[in-house]
Amino acid sequence: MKIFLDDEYKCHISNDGTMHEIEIDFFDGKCAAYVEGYRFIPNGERWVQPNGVIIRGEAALPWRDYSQLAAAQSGYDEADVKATAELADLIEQLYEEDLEMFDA
Amino acid sequence: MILGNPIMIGGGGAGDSSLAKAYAIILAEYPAGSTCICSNGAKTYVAGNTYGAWAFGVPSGGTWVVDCFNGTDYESSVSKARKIIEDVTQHSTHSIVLDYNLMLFDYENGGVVNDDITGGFKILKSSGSAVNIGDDAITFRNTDTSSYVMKILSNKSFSLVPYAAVGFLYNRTGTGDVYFGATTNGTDRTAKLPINVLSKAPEPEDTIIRCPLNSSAAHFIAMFGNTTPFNVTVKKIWLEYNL
Repeated sequence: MKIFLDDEYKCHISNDGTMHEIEIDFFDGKCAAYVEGYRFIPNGERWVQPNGVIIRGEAALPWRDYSQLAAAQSGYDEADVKATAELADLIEQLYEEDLEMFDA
Repeated sequence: MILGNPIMIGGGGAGDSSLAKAYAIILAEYPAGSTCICSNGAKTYVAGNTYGAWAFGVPSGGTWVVDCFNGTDYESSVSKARKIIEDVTQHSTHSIVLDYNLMLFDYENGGVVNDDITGGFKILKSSGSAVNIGDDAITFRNTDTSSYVMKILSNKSFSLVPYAAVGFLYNRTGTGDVYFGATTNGTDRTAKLPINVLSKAPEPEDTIIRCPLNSSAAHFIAMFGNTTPFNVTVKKIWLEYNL
């Protein structure tokens, strides 16, 4: 998945023109709210925490409370399942209608 | 903590300041800048400075409690530590080290400590990997060529709210991916750690890796070995309190 990092290594799904792009699979299947609650430090780079502690990449660290990100992702997954189920119902309904037309 | 700081002599408060007359001596090291207090409930002594070390001459035996904290008092301080000494006898000397980190595994103290928090550690692994949780180290190595070969987790999940980071003291060979961090999933061997710091390079000398934490959900502390090859020895695992 392609994401964009700002100068504090916070993740974004769109680039405001000042960010740099990376391609990682850590966020595959994750919703925007989940991705944008993270800080991702690529391998070979370093992030200096406000308290001066250096975190070496690679690291995937929520800067928002992870429980909020997990809840957002769960909602996204449920909506996705519901949409998929509705689509399956629609296909089944069209199939049945086709059969009825064919029988007629 | 200031290591090598000379121990200051003191009896604290209105007590006798002569260690020679003391019933017993408690030598305390604590994070510099902190207040350190020694009490048996009836008597309380305060370290005479905040340099990080103090010798308490206590007047009686039994149980003594030594606290240190960064704040106005122990109960309200976020950064605090406590050690209880239950076996103070006449002419005995007790050396303690108070640290704001909450140790979970310590090769110098028999391996798993504070297991009321973690319940110890458990192993999820494939047949092609080797893991051992011993008294002096947690070792794990990959003899498999497939991915997601092993995970070592705390037995219990717990709230991360009080903690700013989890730290690991380790060394390793090989260049295979090893993740250190936390997860809400305590059963899936192959699931990625949602909070992690990756180790890829050989670290022949003991090295500290810290993983900042930010979650109000219950998590398992975890180590996750991915692709071949690596051979890891973890000597200490600790939680760092939010300051």
